[in-house]
Amino acid sequence: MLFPENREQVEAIVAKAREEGKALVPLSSGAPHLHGASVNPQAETICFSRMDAIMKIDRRNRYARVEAGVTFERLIPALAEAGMRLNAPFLPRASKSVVASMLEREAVVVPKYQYDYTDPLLNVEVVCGSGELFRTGSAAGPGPIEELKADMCLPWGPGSIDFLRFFTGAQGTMGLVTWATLKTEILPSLSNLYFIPADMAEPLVTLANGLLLNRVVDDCVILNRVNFAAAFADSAQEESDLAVKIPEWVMLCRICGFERYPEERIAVYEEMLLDACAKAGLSALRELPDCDGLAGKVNTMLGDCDRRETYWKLRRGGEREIDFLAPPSKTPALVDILCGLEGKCGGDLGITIQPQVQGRAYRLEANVFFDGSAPELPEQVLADILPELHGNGAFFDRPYGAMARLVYRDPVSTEALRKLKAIYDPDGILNPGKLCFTGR
Amino acid sequence: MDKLSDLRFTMESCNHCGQCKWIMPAKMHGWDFSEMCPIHAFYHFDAYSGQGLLNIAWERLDGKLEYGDGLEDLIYSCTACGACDACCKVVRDMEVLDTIYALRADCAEHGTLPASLLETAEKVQTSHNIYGLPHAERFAWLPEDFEDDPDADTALFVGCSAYRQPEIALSAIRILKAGGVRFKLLREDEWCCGASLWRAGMVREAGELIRRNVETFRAHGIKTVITACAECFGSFRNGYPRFVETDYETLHISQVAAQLLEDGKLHLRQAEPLVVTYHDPCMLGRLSEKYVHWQGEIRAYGLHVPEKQWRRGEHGVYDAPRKILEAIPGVTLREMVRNKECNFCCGAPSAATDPELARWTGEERRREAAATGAETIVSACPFCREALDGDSGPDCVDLCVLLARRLCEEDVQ
Amino acid sequence: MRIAEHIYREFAAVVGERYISDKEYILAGDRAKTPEYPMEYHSADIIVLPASTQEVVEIVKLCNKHKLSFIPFMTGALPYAYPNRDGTVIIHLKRMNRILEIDETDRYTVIEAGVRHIQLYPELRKRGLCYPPAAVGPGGSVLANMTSTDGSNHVQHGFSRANRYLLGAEVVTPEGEVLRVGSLQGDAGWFCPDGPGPSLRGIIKGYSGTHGQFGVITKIAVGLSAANGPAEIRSEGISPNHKVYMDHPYSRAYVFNYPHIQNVCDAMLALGEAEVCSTVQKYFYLPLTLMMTNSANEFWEKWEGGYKDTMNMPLVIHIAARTQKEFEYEEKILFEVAAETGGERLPPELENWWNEHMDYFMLVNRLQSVLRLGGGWMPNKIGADSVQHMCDVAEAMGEYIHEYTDTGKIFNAPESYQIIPMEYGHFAHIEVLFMWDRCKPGVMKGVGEFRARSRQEDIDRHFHSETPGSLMPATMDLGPLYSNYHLWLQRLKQSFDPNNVSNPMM
Repeated sequence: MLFPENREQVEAIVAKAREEGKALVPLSSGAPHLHGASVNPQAETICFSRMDAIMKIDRRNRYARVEAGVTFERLIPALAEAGMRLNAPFLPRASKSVVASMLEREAVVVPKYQYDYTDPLLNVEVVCGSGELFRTGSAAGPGPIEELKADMCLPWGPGSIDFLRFFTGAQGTMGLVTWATLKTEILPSLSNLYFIPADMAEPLVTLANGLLLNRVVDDCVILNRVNFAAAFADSAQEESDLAVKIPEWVMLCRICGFERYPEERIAVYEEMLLDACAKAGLSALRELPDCDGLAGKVNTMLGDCDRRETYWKLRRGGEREIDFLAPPSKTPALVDILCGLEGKCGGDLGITIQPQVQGRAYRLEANVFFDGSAPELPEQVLADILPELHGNGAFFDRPYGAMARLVYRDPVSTEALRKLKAIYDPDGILNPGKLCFTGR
Repeated sequence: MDKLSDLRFTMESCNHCGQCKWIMPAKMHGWDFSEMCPIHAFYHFDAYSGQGLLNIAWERLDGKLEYGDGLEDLIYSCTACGACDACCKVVRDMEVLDTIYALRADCAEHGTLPASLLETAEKVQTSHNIYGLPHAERFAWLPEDFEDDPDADTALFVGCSAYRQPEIALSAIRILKAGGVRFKLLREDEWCCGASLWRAGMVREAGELIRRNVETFRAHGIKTVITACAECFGSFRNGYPRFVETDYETLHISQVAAQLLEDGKLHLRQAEPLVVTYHDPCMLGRLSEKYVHWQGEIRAYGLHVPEKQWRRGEHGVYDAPRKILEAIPGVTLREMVRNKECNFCCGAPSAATDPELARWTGEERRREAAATGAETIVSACPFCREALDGDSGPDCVDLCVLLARRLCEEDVQ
Repeated sequence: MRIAEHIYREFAAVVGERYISDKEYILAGDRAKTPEYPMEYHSADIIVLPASTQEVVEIVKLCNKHKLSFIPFMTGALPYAYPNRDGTVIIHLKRMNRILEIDETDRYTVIEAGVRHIQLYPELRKRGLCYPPAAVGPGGSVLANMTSTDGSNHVQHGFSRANRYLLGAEVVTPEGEVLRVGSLQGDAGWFCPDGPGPSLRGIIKGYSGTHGQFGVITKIAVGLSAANGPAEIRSEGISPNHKVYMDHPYSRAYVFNYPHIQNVCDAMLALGEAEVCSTVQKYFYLPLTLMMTNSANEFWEKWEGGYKDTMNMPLVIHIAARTQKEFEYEEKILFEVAAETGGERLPPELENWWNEHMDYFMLVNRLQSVLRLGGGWMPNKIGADSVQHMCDVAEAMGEYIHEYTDTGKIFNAPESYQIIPMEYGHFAHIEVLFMWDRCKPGVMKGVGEFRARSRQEDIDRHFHSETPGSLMPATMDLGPLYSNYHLWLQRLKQSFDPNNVSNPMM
């Protein structure tokens, strides 16, 4: 495994790999590697954990620039110190690379801030598979980065091509990102947390759609009982205790106030929230019954990563997941299909529904938790459900394994992606065999 | 009439923004009924539009395009409805329609007029009407007992349409009589207004006729000309001043009737409820603004010295017809999307030169009228009325006729 | 006939005789007439008007077969829309003008290329939805606007740019295949522009547009947001004196004039941080005066009569709230920020113009008035980065623009630039809309000098104030300064358009 310390070393590694015809597989942070990241025994693994500089935090213009190895556990407090927050995934692993998460278009907890699926990733510096260095958006120039006066925060271009999009969702097949600029937000000076319980996911999805259309809430995530308990309990016992107290589904949302009149802001939007809930026959609770003190804990955790010793998804030892995007109208039916996994995989089924891009889409994640000592999850069960999900509108936008085989069936677009790959990685050295690209 | 060379500033100013083809934003409604230019909506090529005709005019001016091969057909497929002009002028200082007129004059000058227009011109010259019917029959429809006021300085100009739709002229007479208006008819001295000549670019022929007509008004001591035809109305106000100094006032019968109603001089009877929509004739609306010739210098950044009086469609006759409709008991007015200065042409002006386009345009307008739920389309121009009459859907009636039918009998006596 | 008859016949067989022409006078309708742009224009050889994606596919394949280049064409307001070589087919997409779908739940609409803003916007508004129409005027094609312009707009403070709203897309590739982008590629509908995996959406639209260099975009999905205010718009009056109202108790426009751009910067950032107001824009006073007047002469009267001094640094605000409480909250912060940053509210007779012309906020209407002075205009810079950086670019311009404005080389309006924040102040774009007297002999020399100076100043100062465009001369020149952008563009072009037939500007 290679641990470069800077861009020059990354460039040298790529040059050498090209020269020697060796494959490179990027890893941004330490184990465990979820979401299909895997070590290819035929390849050299390049790990970015030593490139962990927080290069800039700009409060006035609300962005941060970080190297590829910076983790959530480092960035979140650093931003808080500057009065800002990152629109991060729901309870991400503390040691997870922020840049890797953003490049993967992972779901974020504040959909109102997400104007695009790539948000909050703004631009990147990348060493392409061709060995050339490139910077996207307003980081492109003019001239060398050391002299550039721009804040390098504009995500589009340069020019008529949206280069950033070639590197997102690419699983490192196009280039190795050395740093990224991330959009950051004002740290709320005040926030009200609400629990909106329901027996089924559908009314919560409908509610979230309306709330986000009107930009009423800040953080917003919907969890089933299993994932709620897993996420907010600190131990297996606590998880079991909590699970019996909580409803089948809970939408967590927050309304935040900032520097000017935070109470008034919260009052304005709380009124809208309560009105929407009343119309939907739902209740927005400040505390869940019999869960004293939980609200404070959830409120803190929503804006943070999972700092506990064991990541919440791995408490049982094993976890497998399916995740995909869906438009609001298809989400309830897809949740029902996911619920069909219950009992088939030998473990509990957690489901997280995260509204994205201002509520115009949802990222659904099914987590099957099982005992780590148990035999490997029956992959066939997962493989069986994928076509059903696909047939009902699930979009596997960052496909791994069987998902990839399912979505890369259109020859024209697959060929177009291969053309891109040939341009950016002409020797095919980067993470071969992934997505629709051939292996080495 | 301006020549192409007078309009170079306009040609060079166009940047293809597309405003000439689309409804003004203030009237935004939705996907349907948003196109403004009949020829563009029908043929789709940009050449068939105000913008395209400006390009063509520019290339003609610079000697880059020749007639023959169909260019003249394109130029005369245009209904010259002025939608492009009004829409453009919301935001620009350009003379789109005048450029189209100048292009037509250029075409006429090169002797490449479509045969149908030459025939019309011939009819106007020999019979003084556009149909080539005997001049002696122009007032054949007039009741024998009709008496006008030989001393009146107001004339009712009935127009060529009286040959085919005399009920409009008769209705106008009934309204004026009922309202106590003193007026006279010019009878054998009334010739065609010349709209079909000047709007077709036949400058010489139009000029002769217009000068003759103005002299006739003067000879009869006419100070006010009332017309029930939008073509005549628009010609007197907008066309004649291009050729000759005018010293008469022109009123449309709708303006006179609206005033009579306001003054309590007309009384209307109750009748069955009727849902109508009103079609603004181009020549009564946006094309009826008085033409004031401008000659001067266009200085840096478009400054016109002396100041130019622009015609942007603002001062057309829009309210009077609506006031009348609102005053008629039982009548409910429902507006079409494209109304007032944003009206969509009926297609009639191209009936001779491009009958297929004219038919389509009329049908398109009828479709829009039907979408309002109206039973009847009301117009204030005999040519529009004819063009908008269809076999199914709403019928079309002239405003004058509708009003006259609803007059109380005692007033008509 | 510019092309061989048998080739013409092949195209005619695709679209039908009615929808093809090689007549000179038809071609003239789509010949470029923009002498102010320093480009060499050619006439198209034929114009075709396809009615379907399949027809586009067949046309594109014929172009490849006969080595004819093609340009997808809509309004023709941009110079890139015109042939720059002989042997070009204009593919006019106006007949493909259907709104295919408006999905109110999933908040997107699917449209063909020929749908105009004036058609789509009110259809959406009836449903309480909208999108940010860019500043091209009501007759502009929504698809062309979303894909081939920079997509800046006047509500981007809250909405962001058109880029964010361009979802799934159907593209006929330069070789004539139908490429489906985003979730369409994964058979999952139109809602998502990205994936599976790396996003082909990147080829369709960057900061600026590709102007048909990568095929013909035939359909797109546009993401939708809530339209605060009434579904129906009320208008009064007759053109050109229309008044368009947003009849809503919580909708109101405000204009503050500022002493300096850095004060404006502070205000824009403060309003962004508080996430209030739906429109915040530092507007350009020259176009503003043009929009507020009905003729060039009236413009001159008002301009010289005080407008250029009264509102030389205007910050235009629109609040579109949903409740009384929200309106009061936003207004309170607005007034507080204005007071803190030195904004002076314009007198009601000037400010009210905005409240009576709400079509501006909806369709960017009346902006075409900037052309009223008779041509000779050009947007300059048109770059974007942080709000602060854009304001720094603007401030620096004051150090050299006077050499051109004071000497009459360009219109004397040195502060006529606009800066509009996006996404509540996360970034902003700048546009310097400058004009010149096109009737003045030799004027283009000064214009060229100003443009070159403006660009060089920014390069020397290391400002990201513009982005290299699509035109190869400009790209070649700037590419090395912008991460060798031009090399990547070339490679993409060569790979996706091996016959170099799709609007071959490079």
